[in-house]
Amino acid sequence: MTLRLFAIIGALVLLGLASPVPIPGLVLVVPVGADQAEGIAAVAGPAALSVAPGAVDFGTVLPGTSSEPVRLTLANTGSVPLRLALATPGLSGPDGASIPAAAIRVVLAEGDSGLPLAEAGTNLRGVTLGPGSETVLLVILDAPSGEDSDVPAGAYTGAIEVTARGVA
Amino acid sequence: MMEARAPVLLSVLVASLLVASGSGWGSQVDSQAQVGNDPPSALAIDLSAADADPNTPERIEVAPRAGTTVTVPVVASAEDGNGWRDLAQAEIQLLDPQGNPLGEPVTAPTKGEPRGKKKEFEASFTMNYYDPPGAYKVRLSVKDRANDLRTIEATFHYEELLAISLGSSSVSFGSGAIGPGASTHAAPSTVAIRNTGNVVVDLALSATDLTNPEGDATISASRIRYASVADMAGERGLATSPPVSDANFNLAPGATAEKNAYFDIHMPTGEEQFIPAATYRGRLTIGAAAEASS
Repeated sequence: MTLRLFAIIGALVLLGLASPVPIPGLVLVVPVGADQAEGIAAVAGPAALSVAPGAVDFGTVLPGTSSEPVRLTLANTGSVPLRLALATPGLSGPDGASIPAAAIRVVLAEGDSGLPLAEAGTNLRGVTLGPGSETVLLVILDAPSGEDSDVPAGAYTGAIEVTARGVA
Repeated sequence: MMEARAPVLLSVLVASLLVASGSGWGSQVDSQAQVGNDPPSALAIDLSAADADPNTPERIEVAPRAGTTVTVPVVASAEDGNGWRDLAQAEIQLLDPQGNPLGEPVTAPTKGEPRGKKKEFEASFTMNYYDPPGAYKVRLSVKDRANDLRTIEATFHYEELLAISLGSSSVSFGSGAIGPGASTHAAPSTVAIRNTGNVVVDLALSATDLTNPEGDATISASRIRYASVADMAGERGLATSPPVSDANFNLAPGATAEKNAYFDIHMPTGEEQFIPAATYRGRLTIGAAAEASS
């Protein structure tokens, strides 16, 4: 019997997840012919990652000193193992001052000196977050010293982008 | 059967390709920090350029210059943990030995190229010859953009200067002839004496004998009399040595501190000595003497 398959289509379906930022999930749907007795669908997703808290506040940091570590909990709420990367443009402050990305580092395990972040992203090598599991990252700001750059007192703001990639 | 499994295998393959191809998902969290203000530090004040005695670097001594001014260059440095740009203002103030500000504080311009946290400033002060001796202070006040203020002080010792200048370079007892036995007592010659130092001045006076051009006749220095008042009250004869002191001259320092010294001459008579008619010349020395301590 000749199977009458018309096509194989892969589609990405965005699944909004509740907390705190929705992460797209992947659902692969394989349509089968109408005369197929058994419908077969291979589902590789959904994948979802939650990041908490929704903002990282390093508090008040004097130039040349480090902030207290800020806990960032990443939870894989999907069904695909994930590899993680963090990226940041740094922080923008008053009078056009800025704190570079590399001044923010992420500590994966206690005792680690941490990985400096980069604008292009820093892969958290060795961290694979299985479905249903979570990991806690410690994020630390090493405020530059005035010796290195102009760091006027004031509020600095920025963002940290967490990127998750599914692992086959 | 084989045909029926083909789509499943294919679908798994597609899923693997999609996941492995690097399609990823991003989430963004806001980040924020409050960079605190690191107060400025006033680091140092360097007065060494004015030091009259570099052999004692721990004590900066500035020597007054008689009748004029001395410039005291100041190089100061400060730093700020927020970077040198955070040092918004630097002022340098001179304080007298009693700790009172002298004049207005000077906004010190930047010296050279600031680097990192540090910035250097330069300024200078002018000391007058009559400024009292003592320990003066230079105060550096630095303020950052958050108006945090820090100060340091450095001391220099303005030394004593005992100095006078004379209003004339010669004393003439008159162009007319003075007969033997006569005197100029009624019309003494005047020498203006100006205190060009910073302490009270008394006088020490001496003179050489006056000699005629032929060198065969002299008028003793003791014939020249000095007094601090125009009526020559209390006049005293001079001597070659030791100098005659006037401990009551008491010429105070100051921008306009001036007093006169009066001189006359009592000519010897022919009875007393050979005194041919001539112009007699000698040297009168008027020196500044420190006021006798009471």
